[in-house]
Amino acid sequence: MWAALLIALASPAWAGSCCGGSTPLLPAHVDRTESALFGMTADVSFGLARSDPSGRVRPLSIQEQGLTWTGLVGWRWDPKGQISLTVPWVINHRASESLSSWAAQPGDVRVTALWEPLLESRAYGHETGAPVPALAIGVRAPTGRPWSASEDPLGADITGGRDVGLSASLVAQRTTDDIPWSLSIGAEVGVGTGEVTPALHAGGGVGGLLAERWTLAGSLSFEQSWARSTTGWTPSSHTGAQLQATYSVFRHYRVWASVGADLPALGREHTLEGHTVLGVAWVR
Amino acid sequence: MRAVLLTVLVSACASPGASSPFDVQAQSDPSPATAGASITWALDVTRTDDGAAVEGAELTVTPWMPAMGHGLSDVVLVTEVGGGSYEAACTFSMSGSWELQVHVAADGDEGDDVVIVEIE
Repeated sequence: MWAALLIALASPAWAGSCCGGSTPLLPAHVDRTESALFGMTADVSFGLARSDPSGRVRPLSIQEQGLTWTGLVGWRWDPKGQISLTVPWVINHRASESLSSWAAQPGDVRVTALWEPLLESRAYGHETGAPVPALAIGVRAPTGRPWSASEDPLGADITGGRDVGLSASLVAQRTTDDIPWSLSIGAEVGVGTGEVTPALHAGGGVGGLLAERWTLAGSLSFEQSWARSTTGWTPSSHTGAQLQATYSVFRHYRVWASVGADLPALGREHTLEGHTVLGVAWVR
Repeated sequence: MRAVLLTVLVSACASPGASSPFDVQAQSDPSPATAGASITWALDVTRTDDGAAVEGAELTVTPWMPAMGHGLSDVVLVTEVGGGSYEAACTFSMSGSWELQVHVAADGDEGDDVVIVEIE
C-alpha cells in the first residue's frame, strides 16, 4: 500500500515547458515487496500566470495547455537498489491574440537509480523513527525538441532541453511508518552544449492511509536554476505543491490522481502552471 | 510614457556595451511588447564617443532570455531605415525579461551591445 505513496512523496516541482522538464526524484518507485513496475501517466497542464523577476504575478500573453503521456518502468534488482525509466510524449497548445499552434513531440527521457544502503527495518527498526538515507543519481537525455530546433513562433513544439542533465540527490525517508515521509535535496547540471547550467532542488512529502485501499499524500518542492547571460548568471526559481490520492484496485494494480500547481510565493521569472495527473501501474 | 520607458533601456547596464564603439537603443512597436505578437523594433545606432548616428552598418540581432537560457530559433531580419535607424522584427515565445544582443559592424569597427527589454 505504501508503495503507491512513495511516488507522490517524490513528486517534482513543475517546470516550464521550455526547460525540458523538471527534476523528479524517482517517478516509478518500486516498493521493497515488489520487483518491477510498468505504468503510464497522463498529465494535463495549463498556464495560470507568470512570476516576473521581482516575484510579482503577471498575466500570460500566451495561453498554454499541454498533455504529457509518460511511460514508467521501474525495476528493483536488489533490495538496496532500483532503477526508474520515464519516456514522455508531449502535446502542447499555445494561443496568443494573433497566433495559435499545437505540436506533439517526444520529451526528454530520464533514467534514475536509487540506492538505499540501509534497509529500514534492519537499520533502525520501527521504534526509533530515525531517517533512513538514500542516494538517487539520474541522467536526462535530450530526446525532446529543444528551443534551437523549434519551428513554431509560440514554442509549442519545444519539449526538451539541448543539454544532457546529470543529477544527484540525497534522500532522508521513512517508508514503512504509519505516516511515511521523504525529504530530498539535490542538484542537476546540464552539460554537452559548451556551457554548464546548474540547478538545485529540494522537496518533501508526507502521506497516510485515507481509507481502505485509499492513500493520500502531499508534497512540496522548490527548484532554483541559473542560466548564463551577457550580464552574468541569471536565476529563475519555482515552487510546486501537489496532492495525490491513490487507489489500489487489486494487489498488482493501482490507479492514482493528483492535482498540483506552482506556488507564486517563491517563483521568479517563471510560468506558473496547474496540473492534473492520472496514473495507472501494474506491479509485480 | 511608462510603457516607452520599459522598452527603451540603454545598454549601460550590459557589460558588452561598455567597450563597444557603438550604442544601441531600442523601441518596440507596439508598446508594450507582448509575447506571441509580431514586434517591430526600431533600433537607433550611434557612436559611443561622439553620439553620431551610424549609417550603413550591418546589424545582427539575437534575442535571448537569460533566465531560461534560450533564444529564438528564427533568424531576425534587420533592415536599414536611414539616419542611423534600423528595424528588426520578431515574435517572442515567452513573457519575461529578454536581451536583444546586437552586433554592429560599420566603417571597419565592430562592437556588441545589449538592450534589456521586458516582454509582457
